[in-house]
Amino acid sequence: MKNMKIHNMKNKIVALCLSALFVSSCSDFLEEDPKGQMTSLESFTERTDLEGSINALYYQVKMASGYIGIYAPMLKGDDMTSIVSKTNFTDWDQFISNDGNSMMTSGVGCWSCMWNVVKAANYIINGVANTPDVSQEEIDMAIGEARFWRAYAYFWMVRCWGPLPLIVNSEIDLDINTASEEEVYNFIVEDLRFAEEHLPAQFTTEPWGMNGLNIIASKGAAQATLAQVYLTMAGWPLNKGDEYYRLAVDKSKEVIDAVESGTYYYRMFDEFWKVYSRQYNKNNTEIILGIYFTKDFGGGDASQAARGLAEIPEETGGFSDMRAEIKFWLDYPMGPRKKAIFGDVYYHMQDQKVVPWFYDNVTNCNNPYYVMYAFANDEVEYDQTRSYSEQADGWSEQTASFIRLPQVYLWYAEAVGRSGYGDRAKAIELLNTVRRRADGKWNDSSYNYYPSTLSNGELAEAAYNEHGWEIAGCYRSVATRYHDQRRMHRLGDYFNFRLENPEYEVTEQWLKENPDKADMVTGPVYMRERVEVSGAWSDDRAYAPYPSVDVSLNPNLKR
Amino acid sequence: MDENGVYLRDPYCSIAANPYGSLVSNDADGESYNVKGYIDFRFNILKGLTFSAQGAFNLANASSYSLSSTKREPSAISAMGNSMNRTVTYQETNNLTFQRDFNGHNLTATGVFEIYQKEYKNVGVNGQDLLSEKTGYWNINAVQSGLTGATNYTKEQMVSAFGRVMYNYKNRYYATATLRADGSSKFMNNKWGYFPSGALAWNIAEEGFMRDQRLFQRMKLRASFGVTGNQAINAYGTLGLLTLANYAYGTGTLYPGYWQSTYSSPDLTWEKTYSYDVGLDLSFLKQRVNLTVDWYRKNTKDLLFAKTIPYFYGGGSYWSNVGEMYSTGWEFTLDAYPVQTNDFEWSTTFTASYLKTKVTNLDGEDFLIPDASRGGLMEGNVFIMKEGLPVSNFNLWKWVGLDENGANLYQTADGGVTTSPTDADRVVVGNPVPKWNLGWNNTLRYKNWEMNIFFRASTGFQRLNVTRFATSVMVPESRFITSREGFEKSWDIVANKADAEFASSKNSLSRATPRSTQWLEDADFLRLQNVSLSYVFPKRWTRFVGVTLGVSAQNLFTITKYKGLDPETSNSSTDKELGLDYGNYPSNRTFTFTLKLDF
Repeated sequence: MKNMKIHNMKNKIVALCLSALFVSSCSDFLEEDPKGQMTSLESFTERTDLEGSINALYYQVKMASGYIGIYAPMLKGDDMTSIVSKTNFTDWDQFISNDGNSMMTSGVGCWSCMWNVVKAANYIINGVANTPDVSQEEIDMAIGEARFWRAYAYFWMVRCWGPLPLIVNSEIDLDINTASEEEVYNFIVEDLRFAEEHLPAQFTTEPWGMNGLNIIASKGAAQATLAQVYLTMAGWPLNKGDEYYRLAVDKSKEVIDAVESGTYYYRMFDEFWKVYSRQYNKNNTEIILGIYFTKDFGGGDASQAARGLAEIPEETGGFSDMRAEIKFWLDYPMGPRKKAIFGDVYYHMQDQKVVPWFYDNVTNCNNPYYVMYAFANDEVEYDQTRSYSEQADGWSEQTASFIRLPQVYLWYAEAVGRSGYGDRAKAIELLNTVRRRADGKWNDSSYNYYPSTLSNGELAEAAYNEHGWEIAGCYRSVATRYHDQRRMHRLGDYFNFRLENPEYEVTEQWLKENPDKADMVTGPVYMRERVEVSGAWSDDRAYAPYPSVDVSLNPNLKR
Repeated sequence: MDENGVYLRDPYCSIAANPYGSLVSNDADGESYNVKGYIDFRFNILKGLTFSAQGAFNLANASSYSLSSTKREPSAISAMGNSMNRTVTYQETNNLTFQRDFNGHNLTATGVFEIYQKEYKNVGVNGQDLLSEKTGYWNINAVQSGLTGATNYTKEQMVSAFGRVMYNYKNRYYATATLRADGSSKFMNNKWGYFPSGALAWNIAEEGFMRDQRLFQRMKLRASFGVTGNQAINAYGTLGLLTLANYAYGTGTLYPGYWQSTYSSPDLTWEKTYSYDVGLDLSFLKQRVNLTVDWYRKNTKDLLFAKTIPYFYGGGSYWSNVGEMYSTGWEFTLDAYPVQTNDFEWSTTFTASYLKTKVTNLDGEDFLIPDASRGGLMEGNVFIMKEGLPVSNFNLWKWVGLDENGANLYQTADGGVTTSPTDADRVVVGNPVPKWNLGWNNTLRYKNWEMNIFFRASTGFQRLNVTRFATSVMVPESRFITSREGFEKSWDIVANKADAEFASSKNSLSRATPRSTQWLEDADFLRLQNVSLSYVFPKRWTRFVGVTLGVSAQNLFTITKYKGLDPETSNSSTDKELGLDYGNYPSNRTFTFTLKLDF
């Protein structure tokens, strides 16, 4: 009996020990170990974290470049409009203030994406100096990249919303004050000056330099952006005038001189069609600042590809989020540049034939359309006579150009004209270079559209117009038609023109440009803009409303 | 299909690939294996003292495969995905119980110590542009571009301990007291929560003075108080992890990088609910009628809420214990046996519950938005929480009809009307949580036939019919109106403009939005949830086998004014975001035939 009792006790002890085995140590047991993920304590603790942070920064920049939604505010310019059924886009075209407009705050929204760029930049600026085993030069270059894009994002946002909070670190302060436009511009200039000093002129190692091109922001990009910032500060609303036009002249001249001396590799193409072509997509020497895409990893908003169908008419398989304005198309000078930018015809899937863009059997819009962003899936150029659905799937690897060399030429010319300072002969020569190429006369050096006797005022206006044509419909450009009109305080005149909404006959011009397609025209076609504008102009309309979500979280966010 | 077998796209409307083509040409497969184990020890240590230990173990191994074919739409690129994951869960409970009866007193004391762990691991590969689709998703080497992989790991752990004492005297007076402590790995610093509870019951029918009455066979009064905790956040949610972001620079290689995207919540702790309950159980008419009534109130403190971060700080959210709310209500159950004879029996049960919730404190915030990151077709957030309101509310623009040009008109904050309202014009309207939930169950038996009829109803709630919005308005997804009423009753088509129910599609000043009261509908309903009929074959026919044959139908019909497919449907089931009918599947109607054999 005694033995059995002890035996039973042994069993019980064994059972208790077994259960104790399952519990090693209470407090350690509850610790979290997120294998495969890193906490903020592990930032910049290894050499490769520096490059990694730049990769992450460019992911944000890419997210802020791939889709028309991010650039919806550019519809305020006179080169672009949208269609009646898309109020999130037409609100901008109609200068309507809608603080709940989802184009601002969605995953590919203009407000949200630009602030993510700022946040990723601040992460680098505040932490990269801790990276072990890297040279001071590398650290400065990383900070240079970050400060460049922080300045770029602020430059884009200040011309849309005006006053902004200056965010320089990642601590949340919900009562942060909103800095005035002037303070924001000065902040931008400081960042760009640092970038200019510390970014190299040419990157030689992959992936930052490939095919002899700079894939990421370089010294030239910083200088060109700074020139445009000065040009903008000279105009509305800061109105700094001559002092800043001169700064713009000098800064753009630095880029031009470096190009001519061979320090910078940037060159203009001899024919305009190459600018947006598939053939030269990865070899575009005109691009001073661009973002590169690939479809190797599929499509999707967060993929490595960009949207490719936003500008294409719905009847041929596109979204038609953005179309060209009729008057802008009518005034646009005929030539190879116009042919490369605007589509003449498209394939109408329902009626199964090739039709001119003003064909009237359409659901929403028969405005002219921009064809330069259409990129076919196969390695061929886009064919207007076949439907978009047949040639592509909505996702594109076309390189996004923010700044091209001819734009710097034109900014120089305009700044010289506005201020009277700088080399006027040179300015006219550069202006003519751009126009010569646009008219297909690159090899004919005697072709000078603009006479050398242009006055300063005429020079400035000629450069202003030529710039608008050069970047027509290019909503990603650092300076779009909207930006140009805004800094020259001409948006009000444009608004009043849209109020009038005059009618235009389009077949006459179209037949001049397409004499071989006379059989597609049965009679004159009269058109006016279908998106109507109402109310009266006030300079308030040149500013976008802050998103209501953020205003409710920080009531200091106001103009 | 074209001559190559490639499925074509809709040439007129719709921006998506042909769904039939995707269904037929693509593959999406999965499988799951589960192994479960359970072990139980029980020991009698002394008289009245027992110890038991249970261990439970679950290993789940699941795989997921996908193939996208080039035939699904024109110019499509093929793609494959192949991944496998494993989840291991184990739980170990130790229980020491002491029980003693003496002189009519009955005492039970229990101590429990428990641990729990769940670990998840995942590996997967994806690739594009397959050399041949014949290898399907089994050959990763057929991938020609876009090769990427994914690995994931999460683990969550819990430790719990509690002690409980239960006492009753002659089955007349009952008392229970419990103290519980739980520790969760998910909170960075404040891992432990302490949760006491207690209950009292008085079985009045057992009292001496009740012995002689015939009215009540049972009368029991109950009261209880308890604290429970909630730790329903994701693992690592408080740590502030770095986020991975890749950029390819236009090449076929992904260059990875990390940046700080989320914020940490070091002070986050358990959400606690203090529950009070008082109940009465009655049986009378020789137990032919039983009634149970309960009143309860639950006060929740330290609500776990994902607070919105403004977009200029990068957006997103961080976990916070914010504010207090309560829910209170009544529950009734009445069951009766009106007829009980040899040949015919009828029993019926009627249940009703009433619920009211209110947010009492938001820690100084004027309001909180539970769905700030909502976008896409919905355009923005729909719900709002404010002090003094129920926990779930719609925040919409008030639609007041159409203007003379067919544009939608909305009410503004100052009482006027406009075609382009701003966010400040939205009002709190509607409530997605039913006030009353009712049920009525009847079981009838006639000889060998048995029939069961169960009705269910809910009243006092609304749904936002986003599906109706998406089909009657020209949304980007479909490019045109896709419902008959949307077309025939649109302002552009009706002969008499006063009959128009939907705005003009040609008026550029008209704004169509799903966040408008035009789509908010009452969703009260009555549903025949279950009807079943069965027959037990008499033993003399079937000898040694008992045979029962039955047929039943679930969700046979629903009576409601709601225009959508199912008034109970909802995009999300969390209490803060309930109520969007956003293309969800309605509840199924099921018919079942049963054959039961007893050997």
